[in-house]
Amino acid sequence: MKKQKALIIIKPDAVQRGLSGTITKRFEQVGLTIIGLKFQKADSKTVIAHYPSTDVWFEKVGQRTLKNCAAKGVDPKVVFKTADAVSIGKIVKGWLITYFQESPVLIMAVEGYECIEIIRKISGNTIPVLAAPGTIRGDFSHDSIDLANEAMRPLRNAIHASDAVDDGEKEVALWFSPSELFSYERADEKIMFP
Amino acid sequence: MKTERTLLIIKPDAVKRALIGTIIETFERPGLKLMAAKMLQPAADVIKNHYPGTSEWISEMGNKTLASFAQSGTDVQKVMGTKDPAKLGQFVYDRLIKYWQEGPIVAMVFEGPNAVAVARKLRGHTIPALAEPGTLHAMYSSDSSTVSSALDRVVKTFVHASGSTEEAEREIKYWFKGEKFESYTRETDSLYLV
Repeated sequence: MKKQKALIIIKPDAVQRGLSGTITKRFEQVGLTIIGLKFQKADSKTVIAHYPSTDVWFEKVGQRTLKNCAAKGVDPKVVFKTADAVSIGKIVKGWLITYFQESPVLIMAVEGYECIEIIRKISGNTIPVLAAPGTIRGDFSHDSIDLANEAMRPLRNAIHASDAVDDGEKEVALWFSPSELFSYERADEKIMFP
Repeated sequence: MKTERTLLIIKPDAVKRALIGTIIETFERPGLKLMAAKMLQPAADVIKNHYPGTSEWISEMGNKTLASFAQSGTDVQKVMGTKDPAKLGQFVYDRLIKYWQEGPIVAMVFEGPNAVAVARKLRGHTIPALAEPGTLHAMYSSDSSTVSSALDRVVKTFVHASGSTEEAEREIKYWFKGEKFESYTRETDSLYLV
């Protein structure tokens, strides 16, 4: 079996709470290898490219927001000055970018067998209030869609973690140049995978 | 409030033991602020110039080696083939470079009041076998010069921490040449720094 790569980003809420090391530990403990690491303010071009910029994606995000507005009895026109899903999707992307750049972030490339599945499992639901105890989001946050919508901001969910095999490769390539990635064997590698 | 910066380096053995998160956490917990971090695998030259490398410095290293041999009651002439501090120092210097090249390392900058002293205290004595309980060097290693010289290598001092503010300044400039550090707020700032 071939190893997979994934991108992990410790986001500004976790960085500002001093949780970078504590969260990084979780990925190391489970047996994944950190093959790239850097701490810096996310560059605008990279963050913009990190989230899709297709109308399909904007529409999906906008529709989700509209649905939330309807459920809460909020008039989207008051909040967003529009009820058009694509336009709302674009506004939400702007919020995501602002959040990402609120402080420097810890960007890591990790590698391991079935890495994507493992990091999904230990990261927990992307909506912290729904994330199970024992997961990173479940243990370190409890933000919810309602709270986020009320304050007109994106969910603060501590980490970004690639959640599909293709995304893992693509995101690592977006955030890291080949010279920033390293290959080495963990001291316990052969014990875990003889 | 006057803050200072210090340089920390996680060396290859600690990276391979998956201790990156644990080490970052150790320095984050007392409120030191992570300002920069990067994984890299430097060439021999880059490692060589991390050290002062002057003849005085090399002899001083030789003298430290002589002292630690005397302390353990081992015959330095028999083990190392010389008693000359300059020769011993050069020998240690070459082996140090070899040690640093065993795999990727992580260089980091932390900031805070008395950051240099705080980081040194948490790291503990340079030689793990002599480090105070609770310090990183004591908790994660028991390496000593007796063990290392028998195995033809240097003592694996797996966390480097700048020894003084002057050293920190020089080392930060060296490892993060021309890099800008973004300021941000830690959760503890409002309690201790205002």
